[in-house]
Amino acid sequence: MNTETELIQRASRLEGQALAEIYDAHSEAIYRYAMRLLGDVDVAEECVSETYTRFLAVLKKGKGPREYLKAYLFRIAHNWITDYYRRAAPDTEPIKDELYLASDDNPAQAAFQNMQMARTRAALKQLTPDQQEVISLKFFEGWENAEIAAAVNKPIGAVKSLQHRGLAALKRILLDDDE
Amino acid sequence: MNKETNEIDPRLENLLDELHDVPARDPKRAAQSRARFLSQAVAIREEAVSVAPILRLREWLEKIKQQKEFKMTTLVSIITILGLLMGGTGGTVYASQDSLPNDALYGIKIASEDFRLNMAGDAEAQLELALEFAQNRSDEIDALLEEGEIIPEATMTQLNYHLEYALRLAGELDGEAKTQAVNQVHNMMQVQVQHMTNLEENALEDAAQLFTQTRNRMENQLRLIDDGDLAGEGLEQQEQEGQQEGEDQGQGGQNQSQGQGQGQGSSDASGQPDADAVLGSDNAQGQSNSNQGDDPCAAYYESLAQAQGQDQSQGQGKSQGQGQGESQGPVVYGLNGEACQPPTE
Repeated sequence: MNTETELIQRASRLEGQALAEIYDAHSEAIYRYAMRLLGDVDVAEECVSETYTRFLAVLKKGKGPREYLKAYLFRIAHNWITDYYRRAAPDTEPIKDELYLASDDNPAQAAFQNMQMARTRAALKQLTPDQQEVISLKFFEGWENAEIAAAVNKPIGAVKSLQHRGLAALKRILLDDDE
Repeated sequence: MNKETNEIDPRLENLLDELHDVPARDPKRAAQSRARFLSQAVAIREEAVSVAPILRLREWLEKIKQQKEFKMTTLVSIITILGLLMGGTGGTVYASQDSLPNDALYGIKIASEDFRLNMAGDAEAQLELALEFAQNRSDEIDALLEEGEIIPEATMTQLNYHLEYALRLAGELDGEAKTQAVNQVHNMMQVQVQHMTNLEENALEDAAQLFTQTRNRMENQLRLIDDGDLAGEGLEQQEQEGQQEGEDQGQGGQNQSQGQGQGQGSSDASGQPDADAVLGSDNAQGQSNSNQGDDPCAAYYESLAQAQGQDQSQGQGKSQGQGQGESQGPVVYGLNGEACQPPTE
């Protein structure tokens, strides 16, 4: 039995140590993932919290993953983000008191960059949930197609197709207007 | 960028790259989130451990009740067995009623509460008991603080659990009885919210976080009541929605409803997330889980270790200045009445 399978089995018995290991192993990555898509620290934290709460709820019912734990957790997180988009008012980005300054030596450039990032996020929101997930896992998380296929529960060919269509849609939304 | 990436416009790649770097996660919030997650796990484990045997016992008693020739000797046997299960004589049970979570008899106290709750005749009687037990937890918190002891996270969780259970029972009632019961629970929650607020003001950081979490959970329930989402109605509705969503998902329903044509998929043996993972999780205090066969002490100590790990030097409330040092905290007794041994690490 491999380590992950054993860890999942221990988690299914709600062993505290196993659950702590799972949290420590994946929560940071889920936070970054949520942050990239949502651009809001508070909402990203909420996403992490809800992801693990839902994971517990599934374990409590005797269900949950038998393998691909990371992919499973990211899928929960992505579904939460998709639900969040639906609940939120359309085409709105959260207004933060403090902008995240990616470039700390030039406030004007940083402000422009933040606007650009908000625009990219808004474009990602216009993709289908599966396209969003594939693009995000591929370009932000650096996952291989096989891992993404496990996360979205589709064949690798479908993943490539989703990626192609997603990129084409992003190009149309983000770049064609500039040309 | 990933090697498997092909044919991406460099300008688009640059735009996506801008999203790659994100600000570092606040370690304090991360620790709080982790503690909350582990606390939820402890609550679920405790509930499963405490409820499952009682449910089996109840089923057994129901069967006995249905037998036409119910003999007095059977009743005597039941009482004797229960006495043994609960650690000895009725005097022991009685003596346990003033015990605190760090006392040897505390497990018996909790077991006797569970027994009373499950033997109560109807929802109204159970509700009264649930509120009584919530008050017991609240009193225990005060008593522990008075003694300068650490409050076990499980005690706080149980306080929430008793109140939420009372609310759920209130939702099962009808008419005026329901209104009165919900108001009763509402008032009790308000009192406890104020109680937690007072404790927060006098507690050190770690303890204050625990009180805040407990208070927040109560306030969420109060909001549900104030919004008219009374007790069981809300939970039932969530479950119904969950079932409907599960059915919809099998047809790619969620996404198709937006006209996007990309189904979310559903859970199967391949280990993909199912509808349960997509639903809300307010009902984390559900019923028993047949998978729970572990020592509940492990979860207790996970919770304690978590609390201590955040700041080893801080005590709680009036325990300020008594630092925990390398102590593993007070002895905790499992719901089976047996002392939990300190973790070896």
